[in-house]
Parts: sequence; structure tokens; C-alpha cells
Amino acid sequence: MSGGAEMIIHPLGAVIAVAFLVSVFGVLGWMLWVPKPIAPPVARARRSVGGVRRLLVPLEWGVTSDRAVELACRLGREQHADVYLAYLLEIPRTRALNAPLHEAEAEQARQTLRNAEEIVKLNRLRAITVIERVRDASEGILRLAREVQPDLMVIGVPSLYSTVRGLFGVLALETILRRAPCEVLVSKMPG
Amino acid sequence: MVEEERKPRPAGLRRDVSVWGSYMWGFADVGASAFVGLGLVISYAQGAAPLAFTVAALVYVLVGLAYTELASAYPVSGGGQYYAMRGLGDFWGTVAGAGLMLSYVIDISLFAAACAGYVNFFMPVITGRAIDSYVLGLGVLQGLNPVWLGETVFIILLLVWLNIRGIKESSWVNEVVGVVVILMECSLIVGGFLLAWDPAFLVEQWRLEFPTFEKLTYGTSLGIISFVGLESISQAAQETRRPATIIPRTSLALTFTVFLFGVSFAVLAAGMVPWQAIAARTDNPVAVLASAIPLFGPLAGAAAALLGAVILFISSNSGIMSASRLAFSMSQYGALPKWFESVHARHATPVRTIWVFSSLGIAGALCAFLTDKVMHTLGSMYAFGASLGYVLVFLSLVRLRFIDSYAPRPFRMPLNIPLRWRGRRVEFPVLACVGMVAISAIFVKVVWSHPAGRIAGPAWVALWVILYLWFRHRSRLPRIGSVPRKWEEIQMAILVEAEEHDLAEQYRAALAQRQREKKRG
Repeated sequence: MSGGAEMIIHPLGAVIAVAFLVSVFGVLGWMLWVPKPIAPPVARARRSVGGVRRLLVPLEWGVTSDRAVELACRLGREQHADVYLAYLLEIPRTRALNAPLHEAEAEQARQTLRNAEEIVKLNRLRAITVIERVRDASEGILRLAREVQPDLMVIGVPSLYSTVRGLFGVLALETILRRAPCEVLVSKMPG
Repeated sequence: MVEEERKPRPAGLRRDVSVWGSYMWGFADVGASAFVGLGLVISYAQGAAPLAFTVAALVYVLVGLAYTELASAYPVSGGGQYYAMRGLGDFWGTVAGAGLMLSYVIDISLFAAACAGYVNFFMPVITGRAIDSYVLGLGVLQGLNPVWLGETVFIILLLVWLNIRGIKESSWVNEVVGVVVILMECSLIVGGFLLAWDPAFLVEQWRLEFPTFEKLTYGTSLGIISFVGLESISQAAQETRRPATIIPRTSLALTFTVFLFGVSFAVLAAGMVPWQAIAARTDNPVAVLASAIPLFGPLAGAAAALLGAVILFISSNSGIMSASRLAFSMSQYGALPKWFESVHARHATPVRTIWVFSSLGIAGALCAFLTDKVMHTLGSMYAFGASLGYVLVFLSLVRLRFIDSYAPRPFRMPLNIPLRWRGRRVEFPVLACVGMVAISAIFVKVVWSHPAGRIAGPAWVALWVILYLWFRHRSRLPRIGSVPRKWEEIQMAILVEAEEHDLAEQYRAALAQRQREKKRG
């Protein structure tokens, strides 16, 4: 068996030596690069959003709801939030609240919830679906918010929402914004 | 009667340790351990030394990842003892503290003595007499070398002075000296691989000199001492600037670089010199390795002696720092008398703990000078203390993931299984369980095979437990149970004091969320 002080230059030895040096100094360089400290108000702003763990998205038939769901999912994705999807049916006072739905209405509700659920699943979050019949949209949403106790409510409204009444009409939104027991985010669809 | 404890004073220690200082506190300890461990491991693992080192190093990586997670989540002094206390309660915290304290006290005495030994390499040049010529031949003092002992005590006292002056000064010593050590170690490894390493020779040793299974596992269990010391980073956490940001970086960098140094030394040795040559010089294996490198050879002895002295000096320094901070933490949390909590009026350093545990280190050095096979005895005690502490640290990490899931963790051990536990999402750490099994196997091996680990180690822990029970009884605190503490308030105070605003806000948000969830039922 040999050993000793004769010079042996082996290519594998050279490769190991270079890999060793690059690894050691690369790691030390990474270690010495320390991110800057974060000021208290900045930290507070960042982390307060991190506290959003339960989201409520009131839905209606149309593309604005789908977009609101996606927005809500993006806001809750990092913290694995639960997304409550509530399809609201405003029943006119001329009809009984528990009267059977028209087939078209029921299909619209199912289709909207299916789409919304798919969006939530694509974001790897948990979806909880609800269909609510209400006389007044804003009152219905507020009651649901009190029951679910979300951290954030996301409402999508169409770009041309000039209607005064209706599910996401001006009056309903104003009431929700004034009386909601949680943070409310209203997203108006672009152009 | 159980009294609720007042909040600890996190502001008691000054935050003076920079990112490089934090890294060097750990490297000072671990880097020197590899210098001592190389010879011991090779003498048992023989041709399979690279395997023994790699297995020990992989276990060490798991320990490193666990410490990184815990030290960044709980940036206070105390290290393993604090984590065990948080996770398992006061009693087990004390047991972990006793194990780790054993390794720190031995660190002080062993490395100060070894440092003096390396300095004595130059004795014939300075005084014209070899160090062995001072050995006494009187009765019980037969074989005692008073000059060497005097040098050892002088080194410990010098380090005591540095540590009382303040961590800034002692950290500065580590930082400057550490740069030199890293550069020299790199030169040695690169020079060895470039000029003298023969893979065929490594294969030949592996084939012809493979040890028995018993020897291989014994060597692997000793190999863990080559990697003891990583927790020094967490001991300095309460004095590190922005600890939750800096510690994950320094801890991961230390884990990775020491893994590279340890395994590289073993692979280099196996491909350069016969294992018997290293085994014959367990006191200075690196010098044997260095002298076998062509071109380096003529200067290798002096260079290795200088390198050894320097790294062992800073390692001993690291031992004093860690022992004193650990005792400081234990006294803060009612595991030791409040007397140890005293901080120097001007330098804000835990002066009493520095004196007490450095004195124990001096006593340890005295004993070492009066015994035979010093390295093996101290090495197994070192392995016993560290592996006991690490087992409890892994256990605490797993439990803390469940009972303190709201505390922000800037770093998490990889490979987790998400679970829902009591309505909450928790992440079960698979690697921590693997690490716990591995380190438990090493612990059992140390207790089973090493006489010192079997007798002296448990005796040390038993003595600590007796003193702990007596102190708790006297202080009217629960003996086996824990003192009720407001951990959340303490944790928040620590984060705010450390100016870790982002983590403090994250914690605040998590606690607010818990409140909301409670309200929702």
C-alpha cells in the first residue's frame, strides 16, 4: 500500500478541489447578503393581509363573479384561506321565499357555483358553497357575513354598474360598505 | 404554591454580534471539533472513514436544520435547553441543558489544553527545551506537566477576561481569527486534492482495510463529535442583531460548510495517507495530513501547529460563551438560582456564569492532565452530552410544531406532512423524526460502548437533576412540572426587542386570527 509525499495530480482531485472552493465561498457569499430590515408600518401592512384566512365572495350570474373569486383566491392563497362562495337569489316580494326555483334560475346558480368552485380548486384552496334566497341583496349579504364571520369580503361589480337597485347595485353596495362586519374589497371590472 | 414567573429581561444582553460573528461563533466550535474528531474516527473506521464521516455528517445536517428552525423562531440564549423547556417542560429542559453544559465545559478544558499543546510545538525554538522535559515524577503528580497545565489555565483566564469585557470583543477575536482559519483549512484541502490525492489509493484502503461493523458504528458515533458546536449560534441568538433574519442564514451556511470541511478532510485523508498513520497521531491528525502534501510538506508541521492552536483557542472561547449563556438562560427560567442571572454593570455580560463554568473548565483540564487516554475519555463525554441534548431538541421541535404552531418560523425543516390538528393546520416534520431516530442510535451507541459515556455522562446529568430538584423544592416551584408562563407575551417581547418587526407583526396577526377562530367556535 502506498501513500507518502510524491506529487499526484489526478483530474478528479482537481474537480473536487474546484467544486469545494466554489461551494464554500458561494455559501459564504449567500450568507453575507442579508436582506434589509423592514420598518414597523411596512411590516404591519404586509402582515395584516396575511391574516386573511376566511373569504366570502357573493356571486351572481356573469363573468364578474368568476373574476371576483379568482381575486379572492389570489389574496388567500399564501395563507391557505377558506373561500365561502355564496350565490344570492333576490326573490321578489310577489313570490314566496321558499317557492321552487325556475329551472333556468336553478341551472344558473349551479353553473355559477360550479365555475367558482373550479377556480377555487385550481388555486388549491377549500371552497364552501351556499345558495341563499333573499328579499334584499344587501341585507342577505350582511346576514351571511355575520354568520360566516369572514376576514374579507370580495365583491365583483360590472364595469357599467349604474343600476341603483339589484344585487350589486349602488344602494346595495353602499349599505354593505357602511355596515359590513369585515373588510370589504369591491372590484369593478375594467372597461 | 406555583407562582407565575415574571417576564425575562431580554434586554439584559447587548446585541453586538454581526452576521459574520454569528457564523464564526459556530464555526469556532465545529471547526475545531473536526480537528480532534478526524484522528479518533479514522482509528476505528479505518478504510471506511469517509463513510463514517458522511453518515455522522448527514445526522449533523439534520441537527443543523432543526437548530436553524428553532433558533430563528426563538432568538434567545439557551439553545437546546430553551427549546426543550418550551416543548417538553422545565424538567426536560434542565436535562437537555445538563447534556449540553457537559459538552461546553469539556469544550473549554479540552480545547484550551489542546491549544496549549499546539503552542508547545514551538517550545524548543523559544526556550531550547522540549515540553516533555517539564514533566513531574512526584507521587500522585506523576506524569503531570505543570508548564502545559499553567498555559492551559492562562488561556482559560485570558478567555474569561475577553468574555467579561463583552461579546463584541470576544466575537471580534472569533471573527478575525476565523477568517485566517477558514483560509488555511481551504488551502490544505485544495492543496491536498490538487497535489496529493489518489482515488485509487482511497479505493484500495476501502477494499482492504474495511472495518468490522462494530468498529464502523463505533467510529460513526465518535464522528458526531466532529460536528458538535453548531448550537453556539443559537446560544448567541439573544446577542445577535436581527437574529430571526441572520440566524437562518448563518446556521444553514455553517451546516453546509462544516459538512464540506468534515467530509473533505475524511476523503482527502483516505486518498492520501494510510489510516494507520493518522490513527497513530490522534492528537494532531491534521499535521500528518499536511505533511503528506508535496510543496506544503516542509512548512506543514509549523503551519498545522499554528492552525491548530488558533482554531482551538477560538473553540475554547466559544465554549465559555456558550456555557455562560446557557446558565444565564437556565437561571432566567428557574432552572438555576437567580444568582447566575447577574449581568456586569458596565459590560452587560453574564459575569458570574462566565466565572463558574470557566472554573469548571479549569477543573476539567486538571482532571484531564491526571488521566490516561485523555482524548478518548473527553471525546466520549462530549458525544454523550451533545447527543442527549440533540435527542431532546428533535423531540421538542416535533412537539412545538403542534403546541406552538402560531409562532412565526422564518425557516422550517424541509419535508413536512400537512395535518389538521384540533381544527388547525400543522405541519408534521418528517426529517425531524428521522434525525431523532439517528441521533438516538448514536446516543445508545455512546452509552453502550464508551465507558466514560456510560458512567461519567449519566453521573453528570444525575447530579444536575438532583441539584435542580433541590433548588426547585427550596424555591417552592414545581419539581417535575413546569412554572406557568405567558409564552406568547414573552415571545412577542423578544421579537419586538430584537427589532424583528416583520415577525412580530406576523405573530400578532396569527394570534388575532386564533382569537377570531375561537370566536367563530
